[in-house]
Amino acid sequence: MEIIVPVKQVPDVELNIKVKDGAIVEEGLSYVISSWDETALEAALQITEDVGGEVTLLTIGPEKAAESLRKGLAIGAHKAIHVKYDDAKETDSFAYAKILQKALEGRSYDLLLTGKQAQDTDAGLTAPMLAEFIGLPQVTNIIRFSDVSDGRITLHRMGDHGTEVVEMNLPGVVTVNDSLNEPRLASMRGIMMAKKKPLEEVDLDGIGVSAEMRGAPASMTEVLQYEKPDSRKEGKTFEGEEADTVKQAMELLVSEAKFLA
Amino acid sequence: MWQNHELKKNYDVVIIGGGAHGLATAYYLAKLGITNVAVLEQKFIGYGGSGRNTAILRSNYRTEEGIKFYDQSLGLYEDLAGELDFNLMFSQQGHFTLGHSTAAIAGLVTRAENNKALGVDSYVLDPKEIKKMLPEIDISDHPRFPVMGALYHPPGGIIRHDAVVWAYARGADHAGIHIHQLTEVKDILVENGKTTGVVTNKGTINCGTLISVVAGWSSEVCRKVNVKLPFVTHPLQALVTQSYKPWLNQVVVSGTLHIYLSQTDRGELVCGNGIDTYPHYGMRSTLGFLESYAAHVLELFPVLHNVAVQRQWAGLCDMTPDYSPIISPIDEIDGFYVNGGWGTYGFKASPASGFNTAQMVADRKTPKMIEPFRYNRFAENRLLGEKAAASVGS
Repeated sequence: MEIIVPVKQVPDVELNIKVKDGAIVEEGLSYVISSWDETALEAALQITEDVGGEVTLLTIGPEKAAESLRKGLAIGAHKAIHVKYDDAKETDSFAYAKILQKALEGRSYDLLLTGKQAQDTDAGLTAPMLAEFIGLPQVTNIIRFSDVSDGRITLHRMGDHGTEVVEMNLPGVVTVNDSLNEPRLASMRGIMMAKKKPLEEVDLDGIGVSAEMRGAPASMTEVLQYEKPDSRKEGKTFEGEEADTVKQAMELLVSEAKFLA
Repeated sequence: MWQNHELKKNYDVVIIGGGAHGLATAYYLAKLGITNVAVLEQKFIGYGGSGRNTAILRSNYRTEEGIKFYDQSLGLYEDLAGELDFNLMFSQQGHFTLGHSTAAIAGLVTRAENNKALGVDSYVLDPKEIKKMLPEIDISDHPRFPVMGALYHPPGGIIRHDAVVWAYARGADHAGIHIHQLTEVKDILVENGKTTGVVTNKGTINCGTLISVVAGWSSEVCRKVNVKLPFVTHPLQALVTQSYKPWLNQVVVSGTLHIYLSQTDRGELVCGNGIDTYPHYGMRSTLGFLESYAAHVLELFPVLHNVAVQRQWAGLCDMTPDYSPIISPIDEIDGFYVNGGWGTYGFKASPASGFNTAQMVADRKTPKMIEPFRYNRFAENRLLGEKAAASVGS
């Protein structure tokens, strides 16, 4: 089973992300693999450990995106492809899906496995659009694989009112929910071996992505500005006997917070 | 643990920096009867080096001044849990500094002899003796840098660094000292060569005595009063692995391989590196560090190949040219004191640093113990060369 895992490098949300004048402050940001994509990588590794084959990571991004690929190789992927795209600003999911389509041309694979959405945009659009552009079947929001055999795969997808069990012909596109697994961490040996694994660099011209296919002209949406969510209001502490403080808290929940109204 | 207070307009002493050194200084000032003191912390207490170090304690330094100072610090640490009534989880498990060349072994022998002369327990072991205590270490001639010996320092060990910060904070708070978190110093007020106060994001404070105890940010604070001291800030990176069964019961350091590691009571391996080669205030940890650390630690302990890395981070080190700290009144500004230049060796110094700084401020006279750490040693060419004993690699 040959699996390609498209991954996105995103700002580490564990750190404080600052917004100034409607834009994200790049200084001091740390970048990681989007967590849903890490889940997809773990799933891909489990499948190949089970039925054989190789896992290839694929990312589109600037020079620093290579660090995420090397991290993914340290976790266990077999090889990686870096589509170098330095000025990716104003590129939306539609344009990314088109670039991914180009990057995949001429490559053979059984499964494209990726996160159901990216941690930074939460859009969840790129993979479904990519499936459409390359004409492959797709199943989204997977919480379990139950059978992987030659040419077919059985998938459990989370729906609004229960779980759908779907069988899909391969090759196909699958996006994963983060409840699918607990991604493994890189081991010391994995970190060492990653340096010797193949990391193929391709540029946009080399895969036929013309200037019109990049940035704002190629995108159907535009992010006007970013805003920080409102910070949480200060809590209220009640002091005194329990019988009194519970009563005070309940009264405020009704009168001020309108929580129990 | 500690209370929040309104910022008063007047304090006798203001300490900039709510790390282990600043809080220890506050605590020991209170013990000397000086309690109208504010500790100003721009983030939260222990945010900087105090919460980012690898929590190793030892006193096996190289110079007489360094050995005496760190020995006092280790002695204070030994009694600290009882004094502050706080479980600091201090484990005096022993500390190895490995030597990988004849020159390194000669340096370790010098340190051992200097240590012994000053009553500090340190001696050199050969590879077979090391192997008896660290059965998994590779002492063969296969690695690029074979282990040729080690300086062994039995009283060295590890402690829980957050607990040290919290214990000093609680001790200072209970004595009446005000700890102000999220309080950033914007400016320092000086009139006619005398400290008169500080401007913060929460208001102006009048004070006659101001102590900068901000480690990695020392140059930034000194710049506010146009004092130029030879601090250069470099990041230092560290990592922690997942938890494993108790395996390593000593601290192991290799200067040549730029690594050190120990195992916490919870089972994680805590691993640190030398400083990054570039001056920087960034606290991002890098994949390059991870790759270099993995390569080097596997040379020493091949058994760790499957150990998984949980988390990595960076802290800031304010390096000085001789790898010794600066603890000193600043002659040009009456009432302004600097406690900095703690490089990679600050956390282990916290008690002695606070103790002596408090004495210096209370008596307005520098204690003999820290007299050698005055800043004018650079102008007078009286350097305290601790590079061989104070850091790994770099």
